[in-house]
Amino acid sequence: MNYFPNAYFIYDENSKELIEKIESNKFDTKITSILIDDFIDDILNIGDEIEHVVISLSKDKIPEFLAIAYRLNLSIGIVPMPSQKEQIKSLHASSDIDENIEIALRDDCKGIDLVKVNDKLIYSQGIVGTVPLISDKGIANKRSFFRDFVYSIRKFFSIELQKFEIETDNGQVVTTAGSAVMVLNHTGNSLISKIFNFNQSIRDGKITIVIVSPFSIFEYAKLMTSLFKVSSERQTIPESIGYLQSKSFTIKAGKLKRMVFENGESEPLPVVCTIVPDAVKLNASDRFWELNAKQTNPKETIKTTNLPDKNEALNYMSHKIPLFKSASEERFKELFQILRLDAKTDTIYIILMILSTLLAAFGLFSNSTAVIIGAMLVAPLMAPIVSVAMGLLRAENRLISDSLIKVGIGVVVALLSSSILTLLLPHSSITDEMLSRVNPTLLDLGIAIFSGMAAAYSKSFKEIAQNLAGVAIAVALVPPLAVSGIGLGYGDFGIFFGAFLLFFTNLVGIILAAVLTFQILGFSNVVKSKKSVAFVFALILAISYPLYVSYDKIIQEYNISNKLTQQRFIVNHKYIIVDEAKVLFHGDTKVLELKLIVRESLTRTDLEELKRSIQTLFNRKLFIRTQVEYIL
Amino acid sequence: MIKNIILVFSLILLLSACSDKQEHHVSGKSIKVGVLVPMTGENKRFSQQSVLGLQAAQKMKKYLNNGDEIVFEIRDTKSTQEGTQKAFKELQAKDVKVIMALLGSDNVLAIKEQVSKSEIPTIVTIATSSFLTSADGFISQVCMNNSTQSIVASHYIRDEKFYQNVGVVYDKNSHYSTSLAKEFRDDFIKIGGKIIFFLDVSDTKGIQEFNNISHSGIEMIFNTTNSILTMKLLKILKKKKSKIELLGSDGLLSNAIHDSKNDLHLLNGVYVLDHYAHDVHKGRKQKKFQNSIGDEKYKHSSYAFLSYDGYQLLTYAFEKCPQYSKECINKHIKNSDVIKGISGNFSMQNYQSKRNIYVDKIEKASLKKEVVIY
Repeated sequence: MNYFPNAYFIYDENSKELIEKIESNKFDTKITSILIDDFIDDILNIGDEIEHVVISLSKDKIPEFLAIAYRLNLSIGIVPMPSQKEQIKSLHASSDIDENIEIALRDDCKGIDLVKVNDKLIYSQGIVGTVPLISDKGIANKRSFFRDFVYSIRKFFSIELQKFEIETDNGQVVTTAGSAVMVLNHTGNSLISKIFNFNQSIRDGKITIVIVSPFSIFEYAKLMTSLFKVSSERQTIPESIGYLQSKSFTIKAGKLKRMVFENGESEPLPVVCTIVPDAVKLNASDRFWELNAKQTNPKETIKTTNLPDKNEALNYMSHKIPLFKSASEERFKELFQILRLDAKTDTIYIILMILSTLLAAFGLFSNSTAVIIGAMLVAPLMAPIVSVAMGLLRAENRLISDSLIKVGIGVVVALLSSSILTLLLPHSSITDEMLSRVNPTLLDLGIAIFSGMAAAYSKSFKEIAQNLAGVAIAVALVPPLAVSGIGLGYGDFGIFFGAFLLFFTNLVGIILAAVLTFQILGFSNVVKSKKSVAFVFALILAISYPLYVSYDKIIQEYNISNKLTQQRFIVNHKYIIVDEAKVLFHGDTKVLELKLIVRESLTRTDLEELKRSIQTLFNRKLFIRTQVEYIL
Repeated sequence: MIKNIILVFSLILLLSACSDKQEHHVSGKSIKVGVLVPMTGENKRFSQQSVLGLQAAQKMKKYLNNGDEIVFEIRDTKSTQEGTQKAFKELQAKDVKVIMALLGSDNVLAIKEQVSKSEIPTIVTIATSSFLTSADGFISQVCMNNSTQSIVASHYIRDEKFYQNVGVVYDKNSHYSTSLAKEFRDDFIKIGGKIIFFLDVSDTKGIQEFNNISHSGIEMIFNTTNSILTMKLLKILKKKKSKIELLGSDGLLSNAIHDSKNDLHLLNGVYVLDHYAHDVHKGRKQKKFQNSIGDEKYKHSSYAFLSYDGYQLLTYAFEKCPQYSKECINKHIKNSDVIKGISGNFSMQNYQSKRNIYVDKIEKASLKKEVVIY
């Protein structure tokens, strides 16, 4: 291997310590060391004397130095400091300084390409538009980390797509819309290269242009998550991204005026970007050259399938992108037709309502879970409720009124049929299945909300529509109505209101969740009937209080029974095991039901003592009932 | 900018409102509390845990509501009865209002007469002997006593494990161990159980005998010995591949963490009676207390927890008696309202605490709750 007989070593304050090491190199290269600032000041005098320079500079100063090297036709060897991990990584250098010095002094340089934008040389990238939180160069102003971050977040929520017209070296013109166009010389240093491997080499004689074109903020956020994946493992270009590779480009933008570079400088649009092949000669590791092999393929690359075409570009232009991507026109029409049909009241609906309610009522009387589930599957109530949600989202008054009338008719029919059945039946029992539906809690609201989401989601995709049966079981609309009707039949308004509250919880929970789901799925960019949705939301808030009270009772019951179940008491030398503890509420009064296991018989005095001991564990006064089992 | 400043100030105000730090009016007056603790000698093992617990409790409430400060006068009892008596005299001379005795039963018994004569209310945190308190005395026991422990153990074995045949091992050199073993033996027989052997294992002869004894037909061993002897017994049982279960008395794990830390794995599966279980729900106060202890290995020490409970009883009595008269303090230490302890509420009735007792199972050097007995 041959080494340069003479070279300059250009250092900065952080790399001073290398002077001695480099000057005393074993390769007989005579080194003249000079501080970067002095070198720049004296550049005119010493420029002609030198052929090769070894540099050890910070990341920011390297692009600047490359421009100098290009101008003075210098070859460069780079020796990164061990602390400059990023530089070591991008150059595929060794962590051993001696090894890097050896490479830097080799008389074996190869040319690398640089990009010129108009007449300005760029090393890394130039941006037209914004790529908030991915590449904030040019949008933030380095005022402070916090302020720049807030600024980027604001930009994130106000991304606009602009029209771009890009002409390649071969004269192909790509017209599209995007939030930004990025001109890259070498993607190795760029964050965007983490999103996709653009197969770019620093010696391929081509410029890469990346167009970022998200259709929604959600899509852009998804693109950001790609930063955490390994780009080399990704086979397909992420949604929202397109790229072009050519020897030169002319970039025009509709509204945007300038291209901004990493160092804060800018150029007015339109710009002409050209590649300068072998602009600077560089010494680097074998691995670096392996990855950046010389390519002479003149073929241009145009990957724009993820980008809006010329006609679509006009639709997206100069609008802030929505939170979620809009659904396609075709999908929307199809769904709307189904929902309109669902909102129409017909005889089949009424008969199915009567049948499912009677089935549910018989299941409730016979305490049979299986029969009740069967009734849930037959029940046709979910469809008009989902239609109400779409009506509210799109402010379709007709759809709202039709579907609400249908739901109302269904409710009346269900209440009447179950109450009439109750009056006809000779016995008046309250089964566990009925009781389980008269104390709705916040948990039921949670079930309703997720069922509403599942219902809207299933409705939106034909291929998963069969899952609606599962949704119907989860939310169970008809059984609470049947219990309500039974309550009416018995004249027991406690049962009526309790079960009706459960139905109402399901109803409003489903509507609100379905509205949000449809919006997320892109069936409307904005909630058009905001007042109506606000009304539904207010209803949810109103019913949340009684639901919270019931939920709180459940929590209290759980805490008390949990606290006591593993508890043992020693009363007058008698060992008492609490086997089961259950809390029943009679109005506001808590009645604690205990199942005790003992060996010795308990007297009234023992029980009084036990009661005192239990009472000390709780703040509120308890009424206690016990059932005693004896160990023989 | 102004908006940001207002926002930051509002946040600070909000956070300070959420903080549970209370501002105290400081009166400048201090109340001396004597602390007897074996800082040297063989009982040193529980002194560090107890003292750390007491200091952590004091850190959480150093001042009474009237602004008076509680100040400790700490004396080393050197783990001997003579040393304890001497230390007590020194504290008496210092005119302390209350004495916290972080001592074992033997040494508390050694000062019982002195306490009675001096009429200094004395709070015992870890000594469980049933002979410490008397109807007209001045010693109060914050921990459970041996009578309660023995009743709980005998009933647990009979009614929860359904075992009838039990062996008992004890250390004749420890008053605590001997008296608890005897009480258990009597209680278990009284409720219909059978004691198959009652063995002193304090010396080589006893250990040899334990090794030779036939363990067939024995369902459980009740063990009141310290952790060093317990490890010897467990090694024998392991060697014999015996499946007999072992129920240990209070403080076994706390002692083992100090004395036998390399053999802790042997304790896996051993049942113990204790004041605490590691898997019970921890409130904010308990977490704060554990953080204040500092030393990681003592964060779950029952001795530290009992020091906290003793300190709560002490401050409760001080708050009730603004003049700090011995009679008044003793009256409120003797019988108290419900006090929030670190592992549950407790109250004092006739010098003894009414509190939860846990039967735990040791797993990986921590106490897993089996049942709680009140």
